[in-house]
Amino acid sequence: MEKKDAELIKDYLNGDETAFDVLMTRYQEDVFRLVRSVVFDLEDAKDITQKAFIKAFNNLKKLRKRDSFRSWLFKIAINLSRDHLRTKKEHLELEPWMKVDMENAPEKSLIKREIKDSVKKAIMNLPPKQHLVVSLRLIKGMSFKEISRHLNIKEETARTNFFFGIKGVRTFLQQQGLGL
Amino acid sequence: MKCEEFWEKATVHLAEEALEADLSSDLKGHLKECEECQQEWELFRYGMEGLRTDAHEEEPELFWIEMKNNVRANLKPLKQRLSFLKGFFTWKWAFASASVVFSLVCLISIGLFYKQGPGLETQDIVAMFDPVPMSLDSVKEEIESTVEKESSKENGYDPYILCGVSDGWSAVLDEVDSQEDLNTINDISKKRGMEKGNGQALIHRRYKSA
Repeated sequence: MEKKDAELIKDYLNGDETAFDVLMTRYQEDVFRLVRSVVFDLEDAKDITQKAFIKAFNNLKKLRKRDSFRSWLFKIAINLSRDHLRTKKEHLELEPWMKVDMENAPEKSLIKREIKDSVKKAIMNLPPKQHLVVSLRLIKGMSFKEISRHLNIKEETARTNFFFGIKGVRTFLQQQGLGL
Repeated sequence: MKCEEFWEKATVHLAEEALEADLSSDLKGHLKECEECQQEWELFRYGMEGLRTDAHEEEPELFWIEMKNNVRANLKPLKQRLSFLKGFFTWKWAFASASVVFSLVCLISIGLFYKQGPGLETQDIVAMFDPVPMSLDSVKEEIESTVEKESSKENGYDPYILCGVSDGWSAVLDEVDSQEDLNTINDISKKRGMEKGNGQALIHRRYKSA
């Protein structure tokens, strides 16, 4: 039978290094996918995920509710992602968009990649909170209840940020000559 | 349906429905009629799908091993953390902590004894002013100089705690700062038949005899 997080944390703090392996294996993919949903870049996501685990393990003693390890870890990862978004402001430059018949174009996959990059830049252009909410909802597929819990905000605030975020994405795409 | 209405409803759809859920028939109907919205919606959908695919892209086993190793390499050594804890809980520290707690308890007890203990007496001094003082400040000045002389430690008194002047049981010195103290001064001056404007002043003092 699999050990619970709280037991593994106790083992780890008592010097059992294998507990570290189990906890890492259990959560590293989840945390990485969560971070990648927000920061997009593979290397950045990897770096932030590692930092989140280092921070979590070095502060395990401070965690009182050991059963909530997962949500605590996610919060750390999201906070680090938010810090990353605040500091990293990409210079957004796009080629002028040409209308293409996406379904029948010979370079369909190339066009899809361009579209993806444009939407990514549009999201990156949003304020950090809107960026987080839009990404967690539309890429990670979280509910607003989960988002509000992870970001420590009210559900209503999350929804408002989402609506402004979508508007922001559309405006950005329109300014770049995409969309309408 | 107008384009703005479509986007409002489409945003609600994105917020509330499952990511793969189809648009409702009225929204689809608008897309069939409006090429611009259709283009924008497709762009949005393709873009999001692409980002979702990236986020769920399978990584090779080595990727996870490397990540685990990087984390392990950056952790504070576990032994060091444990030895710090062990060092903290030695008998020496336990004894020192117990001594500090004991001393604090003693100090608090002594403080309480002196605050509430026996030996606290009261003294009322009635002073006459002739002529009637023009202002409270002059009364205060007079009383303070009297009290200071009487309250010296050589006379066995601690400095006064409560001191007030009655001018029709309403005027008080700065030291009377609670309603309870004010009531005390008023009660005493009333009992003594002190009247407003007769130049009498009252000093009510709690003191500890030497």
